[in-house]
Amino acid sequence: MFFFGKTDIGLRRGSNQDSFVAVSLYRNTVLCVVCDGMGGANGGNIASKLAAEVFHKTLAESLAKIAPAGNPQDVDLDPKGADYGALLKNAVSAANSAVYTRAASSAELRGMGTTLVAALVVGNMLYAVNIGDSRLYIGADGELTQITRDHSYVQYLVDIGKLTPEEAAKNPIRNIITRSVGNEPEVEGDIYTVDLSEYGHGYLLLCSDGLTNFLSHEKISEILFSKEGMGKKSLEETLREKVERMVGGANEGGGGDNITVLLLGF
Amino acid sequence: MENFEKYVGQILDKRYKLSRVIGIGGMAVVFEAQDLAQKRTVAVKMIKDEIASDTQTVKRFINESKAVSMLSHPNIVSVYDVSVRDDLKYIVMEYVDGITLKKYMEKRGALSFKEIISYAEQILRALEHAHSKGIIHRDIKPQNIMLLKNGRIKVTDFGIAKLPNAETVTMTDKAIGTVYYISPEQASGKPIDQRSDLYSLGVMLYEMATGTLPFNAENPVSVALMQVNDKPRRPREINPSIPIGLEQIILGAMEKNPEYRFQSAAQMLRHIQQLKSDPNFVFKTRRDAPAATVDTEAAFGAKERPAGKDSHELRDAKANKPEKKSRRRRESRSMLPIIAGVTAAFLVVLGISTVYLIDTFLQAQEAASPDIITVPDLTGKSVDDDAVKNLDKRIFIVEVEEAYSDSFPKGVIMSQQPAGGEKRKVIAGEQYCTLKLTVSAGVETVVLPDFTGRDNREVEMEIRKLGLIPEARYEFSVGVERGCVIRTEPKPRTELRVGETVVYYISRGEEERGKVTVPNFVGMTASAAYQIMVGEDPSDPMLTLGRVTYEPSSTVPKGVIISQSLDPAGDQVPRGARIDFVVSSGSPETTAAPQLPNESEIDIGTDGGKNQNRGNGNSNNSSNNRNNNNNNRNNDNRNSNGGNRIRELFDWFFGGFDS
Repeated sequence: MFFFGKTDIGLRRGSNQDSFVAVSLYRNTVLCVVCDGMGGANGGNIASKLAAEVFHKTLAESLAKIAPAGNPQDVDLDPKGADYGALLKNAVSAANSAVYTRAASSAELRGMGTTLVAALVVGNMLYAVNIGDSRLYIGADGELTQITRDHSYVQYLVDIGKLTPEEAAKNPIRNIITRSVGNEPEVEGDIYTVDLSEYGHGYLLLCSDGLTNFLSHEKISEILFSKEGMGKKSLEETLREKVERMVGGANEGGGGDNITVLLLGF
Repeated sequence: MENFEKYVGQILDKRYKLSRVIGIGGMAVVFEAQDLAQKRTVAVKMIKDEIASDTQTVKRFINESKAVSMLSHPNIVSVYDVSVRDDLKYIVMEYVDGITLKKYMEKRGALSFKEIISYAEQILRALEHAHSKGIIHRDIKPQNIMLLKNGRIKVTDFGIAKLPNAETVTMTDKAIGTVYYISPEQASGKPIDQRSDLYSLGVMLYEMATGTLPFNAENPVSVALMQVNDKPRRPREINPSIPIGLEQIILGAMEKNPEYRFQSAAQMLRHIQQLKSDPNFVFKTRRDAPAATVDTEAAFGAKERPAGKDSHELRDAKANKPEKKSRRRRESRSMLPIIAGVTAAFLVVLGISTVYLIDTFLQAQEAASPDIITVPDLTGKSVDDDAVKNLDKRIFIVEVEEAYSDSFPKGVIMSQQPAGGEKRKVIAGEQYCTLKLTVSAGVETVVLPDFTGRDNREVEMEIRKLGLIPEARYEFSVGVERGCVIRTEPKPRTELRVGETVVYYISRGEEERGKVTVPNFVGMTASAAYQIMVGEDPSDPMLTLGRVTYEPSSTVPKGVIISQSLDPAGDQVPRGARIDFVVSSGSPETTAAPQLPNESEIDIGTDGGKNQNRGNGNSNNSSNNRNNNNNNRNNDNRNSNGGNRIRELFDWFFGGFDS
C-alpha cells in the first residue's frame, strides 16, 4: 500500500491548524488520520496535533497487543481478527480526553477542539472513524464516494430536507460542526466498516474541509482518476502528484482555509 | 481573553476619552466615553484585536458602519463617527441611558397590550427607515433594543457587520441568546432580505405577549432547527388574554416562508396601528384589510404573496362571516392585507410624519393622569401567596431579592420597600410602582467538600470561606502524607449550617510503629489472611489491605489468594503497610458470567458496605453515560456544561453582541 499526504496553510490563514498522520503499522496495515483544529490563535494547531498523536499512539498500542510476534513490517494483522471499530473508538476517547484536559489547563486554550477522521486499513478491510466535518472518500471505478457523514449543522438541514446537498456545499454556515474532539468530556465517533475487495483497486482520500470547500467534487474526482503520466511514474510518484494538484486546485479556488489531503492507493 | 481595561483612560484621536467598558461582544468591545470636542457622553465601539487582523471582516465592519452612520432616526441609536485608520478602528455612537428590552422583560415577564403595541410601532419605524436605505439589521433581539425611561425605544447594533466567518466552530452545547430570534432563512444559511428582520420582531412580540420564547431548547442546534421546521404554539394558548389580532400579527410575522410573511415593515406597522385603534380588530382576508391602510410593497419590490396553504388556521377568529368554508380556509392564510398602489410620494410623507407621531405619542403618555394607590403590606406572607400573585401587573413591578435567614422560613417575605401603607402615584400600564420584596432563602447551608489528601492550610482557608469554623486535630497515618488532611468530621457531602464546626484531621505522617515481617498469604483464603493481618487490635493492624484483584484460575480454588504484592521473603516493612492481593475467582468455565467485579478496592477500617456502594455507583454512572451517548447519536445534543465557551463561538459566528 502506498500513500502520500500533504498539508498546506492555504492563502488566507495565519497558521495551519490541520494535522495528519499516515503510517504503516504492519505489513498489511496502514493508519491515516486527518485533524482540523479550531479555537483561538494557538488552540487549533495544538488540538489537532495532540488529537492525531494521541489517537495514533493509543491505537498503535492496542494493535500491538493483538499483533503476532515478529518485526511489525514482516507480520500481518488478521483483517477480521479483532473488533477494530472498538479500538478506534477507544483511541478517539483517549484523544478526546487529552485535548479536553489540555484545553482546561490554560485560559488561552479554552474552547479548542478538532475534527478527526481516521482510516485503518487492515488487508482488504477498511475501518474508519469520524467526528466533525473532515472527510473520507473512496474513489474506485471512476466514482468518488463520500464514506463518512459530516457532523455539521448543514448536514442536518439536508437530512430533514431543508437544504439540498448542493445548497449545503455552498452554505455560509457550513462551518458549524455539531461534534468535535476535545470540547466535551466525552465524544463518540461514528464507525464505518468497508470491505475494500468489493471495490477492486482504488483510492482512499482523507481531507480537511479546506479541500472540499474550495475544490468541487467534480474537480477532485477528475484529478483522482486522471491517467496522466500513468505507467511512466511509480505509484508513489503518481499519488504525490495527485495530492499536489488537489492542494493547488483548492488554493486556486480561493485557499480560504488550511488544506490537508491524504491519498492512499489500494 | 483580552484585557480591555487597559484602554480605559486613553484618549482616541485626541477627542474620545474612554471612561469604562460597558459591553463585550463577539467581535467588539463597547466603552462609555467623553467626546471632548462636543462635550457629550458617547459610546465607542472598538474592534477586538484578534478580529482586527482579519482584513475582510474589518472591511465589512467599516463599510456597514458607514452605511449605518447615514441612518438618522429617533428610534435608532445614532452613529456619529467612524474611524478607519489602520491602527485604530472604532465607531462612535450615541450613548443611550436605558436598559435593554431583555432586562426589562426579565423583570416584567409578559408585557401589557399597550406596551407591546408601543414598542412594536417604534421598532417598526426604525426598521422601516433602515430598510428604505437598504440596510437590514440581521440581529433583532431584545438585547439590541434599548428602552429609555420615557418609554422610547432605540434599536442598536444596526447592520453592524456579521462575520462571514469561514473558520470552523463547534456548537455541541447549549448557548443562550442569538439563535432564539433568527429567521428560518438565517438558520439555514440562505440569503436574507428585510423580511428576515420582521420574523425576528415576530419572535420578540411573541415573547413580549406570552412571556415565553416560541422556540426553546437546551442547545442552539435544536433551536435553529426549530426556527426552520417547527410550528410555534399559538400565543393565545399560553396567554388567552392576547387579542386575536395581535396573535395574527405575531404569527404572520413568524411565517417560515418570507413570501407569506409581512412583506415590509410599513405593512406590518399599519396592522399594528389598526390594532392600536381597535384592540378587538380581527384581520381576516385580503379584502377585509383596513381601508385606511396603504401597502408599500411596490416600493420594496416584493412580490404579491400567493394565497397559499394555511399554516395557521384562524379557527378562533370571532368575526367569521358565513363564507364558503373552503374558501375561508384558503384565504385566511393570507390574512395580511395586500393592497397595491402606493406612490413614492406617500413614502416621503410617511417618513416625515413618523417623527411627528412619535412626539405626539410620547406627549400623550406624559399627559395621562395618575392614580394614588396604597402599597399593601406583604411582610410575613409567602412569596407564592395570592396577595403577591394578584398584584396588578399594570401598577406594580415586583423585584424579589433572596436573603438567608435563621428566623424566617424559606419563601416568606421578610421586608418590603416601599413599606405597606405608603402612598404612591401610578398610571396603570405606564407609571409603575416598583415593589422590592426581600424573601427568606431559609437557613444558609453549605455542603462540605471532600478535603481528603489536601494540604491542611488550604483546607483551613476553604472551611473558613464556606462560613464554617475549622478545628484541627492531628493523627498518624500510613496512607496520607504528613501535613495533608486524612478525613473530616462530619464526612464530605454533609450539609451544614453556616457557623458550624468542621474537625479536620491532619496527618502526622507514618507512626514509628516498628517493622513487621510479611507473612506468605498465598494459598490462604482471603478471610483467613484478613484475620492474620488485623491481628488482635483492629485499630493497629499489622498490614493494611490495599487493592484486591480477582482473576479466574483453573488451578487455585475460588476465594484463595494467588499472589501478593509484598514479598514474604523480603525485608521487613513498616507496620500497617499496604498489601495488594490477586484472588482466584474460580475456574473460567464455572464463572463464565462472573458475579465478582474484575477489580475492587477494599479498605479496612471502614464498613464493608462502602465497597458495595462504590460498585453500584459506578455501574449507574456507566449506564447514564450509555444513555447520553444514545441521545447524542440521535441528535448530537450535548447537555454538559461549557455553555459560555460555545456561546462565545456562536456570538462570534452570528456576530451577536450582548452588552
